[in-house]
Amino acid sequence: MRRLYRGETDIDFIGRRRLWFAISGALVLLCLVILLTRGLNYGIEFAGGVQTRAPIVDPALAEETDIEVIEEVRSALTPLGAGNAQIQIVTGDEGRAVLVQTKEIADPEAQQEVVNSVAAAVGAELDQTDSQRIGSKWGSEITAKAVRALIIFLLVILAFISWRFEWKMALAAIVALAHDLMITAGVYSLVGFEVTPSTIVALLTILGYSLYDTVVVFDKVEENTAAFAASGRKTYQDAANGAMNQVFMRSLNTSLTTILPVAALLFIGAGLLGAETLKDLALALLIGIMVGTYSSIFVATPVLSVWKESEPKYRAVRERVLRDTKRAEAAPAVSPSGGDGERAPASRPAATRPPARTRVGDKKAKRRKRR
Amino acid sequence: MKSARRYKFNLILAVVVAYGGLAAVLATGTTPNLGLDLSGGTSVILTASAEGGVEPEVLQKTVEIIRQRIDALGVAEPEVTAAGGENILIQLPGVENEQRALEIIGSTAQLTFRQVLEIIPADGPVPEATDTPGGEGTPGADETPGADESPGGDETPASDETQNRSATQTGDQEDEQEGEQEGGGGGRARDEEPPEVTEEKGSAVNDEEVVYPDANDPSLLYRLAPAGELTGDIIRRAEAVVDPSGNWAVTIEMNREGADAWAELTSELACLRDEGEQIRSQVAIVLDGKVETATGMRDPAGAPQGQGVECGVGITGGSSQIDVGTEQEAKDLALVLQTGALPLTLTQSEVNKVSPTLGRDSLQAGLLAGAVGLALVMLYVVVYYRALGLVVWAGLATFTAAIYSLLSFLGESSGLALTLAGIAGIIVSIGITTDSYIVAFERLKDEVRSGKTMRAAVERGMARAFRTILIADFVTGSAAVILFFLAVGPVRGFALTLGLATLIDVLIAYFFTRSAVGLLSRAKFFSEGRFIGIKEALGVSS
Repeated sequence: MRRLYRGETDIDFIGRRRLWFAISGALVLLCLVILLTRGLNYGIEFAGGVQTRAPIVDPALAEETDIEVIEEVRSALTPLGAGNAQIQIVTGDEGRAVLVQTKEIADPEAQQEVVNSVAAAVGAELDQTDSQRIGSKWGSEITAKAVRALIIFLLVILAFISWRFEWKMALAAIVALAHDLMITAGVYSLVGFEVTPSTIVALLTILGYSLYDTVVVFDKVEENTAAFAASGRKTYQDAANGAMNQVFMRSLNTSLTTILPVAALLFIGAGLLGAETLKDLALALLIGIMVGTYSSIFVATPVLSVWKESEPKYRAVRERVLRDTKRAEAAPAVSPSGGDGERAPASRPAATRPPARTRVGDKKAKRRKRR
Repeated sequence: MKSARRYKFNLILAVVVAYGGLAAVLATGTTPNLGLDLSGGTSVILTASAEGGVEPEVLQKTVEIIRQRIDALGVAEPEVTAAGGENILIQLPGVENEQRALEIIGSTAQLTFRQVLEIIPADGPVPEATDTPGGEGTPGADETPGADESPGGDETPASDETQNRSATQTGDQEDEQEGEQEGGGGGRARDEEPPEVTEEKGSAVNDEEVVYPDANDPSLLYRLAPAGELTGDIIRRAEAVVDPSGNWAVTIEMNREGADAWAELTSELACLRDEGEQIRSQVAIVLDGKVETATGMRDPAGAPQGQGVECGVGITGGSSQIDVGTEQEAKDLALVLQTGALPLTLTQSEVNKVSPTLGRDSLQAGLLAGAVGLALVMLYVVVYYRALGLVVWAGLATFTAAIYSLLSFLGESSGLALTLAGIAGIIVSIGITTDSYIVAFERLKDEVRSGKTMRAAVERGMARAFRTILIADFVTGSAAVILFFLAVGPVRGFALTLGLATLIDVLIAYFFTRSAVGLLSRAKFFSEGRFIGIKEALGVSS
């Protein structure tokens, strides 16, 4: 724990990449299957629906506030599976009326049942009740423009990361992003939550967060690999792994501080206070942020490091470092090849390092040799 | 090395700006605008009519145009829905005043292009004062013609002289008029009472001769030829541009059918111009029964190669340019052209107040959850980072003050509406802002571990951490900017909040956090103290 706190962990993030890739691959595949088989449950904003309007006739309701009336209508609709309808009170010259928008139900009888329930709840006659089909509020134009904006955004980000770091990092970041969005969408499909404009907003938040987090991690990887791997003192993989260990605590802290408010939104807002709308939004954010933090470390960087290791320059570095390690194994006490030695190579003499860490370094070296 | 003075200056600047903004907002009683879901608003039902019935695609297109028109900045998040085959339901957030709602929805008529037959001043035509052609248009009236025009070419209406002239000329040259209008228009107007303004009656009016007032000066009337095919839906694009000579202009692109009709009309108008007809060689742009502008055809003689309108040729290819006086006029006209193209005529059938869809309890739940989350984060950072955690507290408070002021200000000035989704977004941004501190503090630990002195570690670590924050925030910031400019509807509202939060984060990281940590690290109590000390938090063994 103390070591974790001080950022002196020594987890082999990249060495165990096959495990991470297997986990992520299986998750993404599972989500893809769920998405393809179950599809997404589009809300009324996308799919359109039916709007029912009934005047509030029941004298008992005349005294009640808008919110109380809405709650009564909602509880009348809940048994019909339409509890998540958009219910509003309209106040005009002809007094108050209730306006209910539900998704269209394929069965006309069930649809009529919804209209009847609305009318009954406010004491209106059926011939006073007006029901008509409504189109989508979101509109194809909004979707088309949002998609175009996203594509341009991704191109800009590819260009920016390529310029600031390198293009392989840019692609690795996009891989992690796709991973995050796919898993979030899969969970949505699995739970069967309605996709509303809030969901889109949540997905965009996740997109922003995922890239943000990956860039923070890559900034560290870039710094470490430039200092050690490029000069040939360490393999790219080890340098990246060191960066991961340094940045690990920050990732844990950040996800914790980001998740705390979202979890509060989910459990206090939606759970205890019953704000249903918050539930969908908070769930999407919660999953997205957790997956986003995970993917920066366990997907983006391993992908990047496998890719970089295959470059001739880093292959050469790798061979040289392995040779050195083998030689060093004869005299472990002075070995500089520990997993995190880059943190303080100059200021910390090898002899004073805790023996535990040296052993870890040895183990790793052996594993590498066997491969 | 940053001097302590510089740190103090930045710190005070950040605090003054953020809390000054908050104080200003509180003093003026401005609060953020709440969205439709949280505070309700006004509902308007419009009924569309068209000969031979309303087609669903056309209704849908009308919905898109209305949405665009209401939501000019794109952050008010209205609901606009097609309903029941011929209705359009509109719900606007927080608009308690119905009149205001109707103003926002604006004109519901079609846009048309019509030849000017006559310009009639309020007190009836005065048949004298024949000016020399060309020349003195008043501001707002000197828009000019077709394919690019010369300033000082054939400017037009609205000035008294022009009005007078118009009457005379129309009278004199009646016989030269082209087929579509029966030859009596101008003459009749002179002899009789000023004509009645034509009432709008659906799209049928497009094939009739009409009399409409000027949009800026209702006493000025125009007699206009039938529009025929030249209605708003032929416009593909309209943009305000600065032409090479530095003047503002509006470019219009039309679709193919429109381009043909436009070429025919402009060719005729160019011929009339060549015959010296100053009035009748103009085309008027009409929206909602009002003449937005009337403009003549540029004479090829005084225009650069290929930019004049020739008799017998007209403006071909569907691209035109209209010279406009000022930037504002150009932008207004472009907006009218771009969004005025309603393919249907709409009548307003009902206006009501609507209650919120979610209500105050959702808002309260959201805010309470946000407060609890924030409290947990604050507790966590102070346990974990000790005195540095206090910097996070102060930083988050500054962040909150800044974002609250900005949201209130934008709600007031641009109609930004805060929906529940937007509030959730801000709650997430608390986490992301906190990350800036965590990145910085973890960086400090690294520097301290590598054996630097406290002071050197702070200098270097904070500078390096700021770079990381800048890169990462650039990514989120560019997401916000691109989404804001390219997307519409709720996505745009989200982009604005995200962008603001990111910007404030960068500013606070630079001006506030860096300075605060720099100053704290020099204070012995904060750096050495047993429990509160930074050294303790950073794991420095002294």
